[in-house]
Amino acid sequence: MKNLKLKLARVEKDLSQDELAKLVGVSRQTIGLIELGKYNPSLSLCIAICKALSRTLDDLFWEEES
Amino acid sequence: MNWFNRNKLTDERIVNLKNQIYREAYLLITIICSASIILKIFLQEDPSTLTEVIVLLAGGIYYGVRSVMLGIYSEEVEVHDRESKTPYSRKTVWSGLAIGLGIALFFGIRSALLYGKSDLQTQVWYFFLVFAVSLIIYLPFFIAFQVTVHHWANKASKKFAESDLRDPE
Repeated sequence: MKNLKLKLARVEKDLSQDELAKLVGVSRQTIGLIELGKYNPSLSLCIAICKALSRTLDDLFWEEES
Repeated sequence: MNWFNRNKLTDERIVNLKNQIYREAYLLITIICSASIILKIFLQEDPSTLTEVIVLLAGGIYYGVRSVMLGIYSEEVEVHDRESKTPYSRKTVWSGLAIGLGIALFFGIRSALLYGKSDLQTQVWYFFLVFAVSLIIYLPFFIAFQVTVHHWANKASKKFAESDLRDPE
């Protein structure tokens, strides 16, 4: 499932995938794949992304049950 | 180990994918070496398979020792026994039985093909003779070997896993 919350938070922070990738120390493809829901990041990477985007884990990675 | 982490990669996805490639490469090497041993034994009168055997044994021993030292051997056994009806220890007995049987069959067929060339009756005789003798020698050996190694590895792995869990404070 696509992670639209992450994409939205990144755009709100005015960051490109490449810039966010540099901030958290991964490749642009990794950020792209997380946004597409094709890669499950580890907890430490999730936390690094949250810190870079000034959000909480709940904000970016918690899926509400529909 | 430090000498593997000289060029530290920070992207966990790349590390995971590289580890997957290493695993596939190891499997490929194992298949090639095993095929080479089988082909040499069946096609050559005086086969030299030492290199392949060293590659296979070194890889296997290295993996075994590392998994024990990291404590994951006993963890695998624990998770397996929790989910499976057949305990891991019983499966090691079955694997020893299968290896012994496989080797006895292998030597039996090889002897029949290499030395029983004159007629079918001699081939069958050679097969059963070598098969029976190999079975008597290798079956108890491999069962005992598998059970002993499993017992020792599980015990040592538990010790390493426990020391990892110990809080330094």
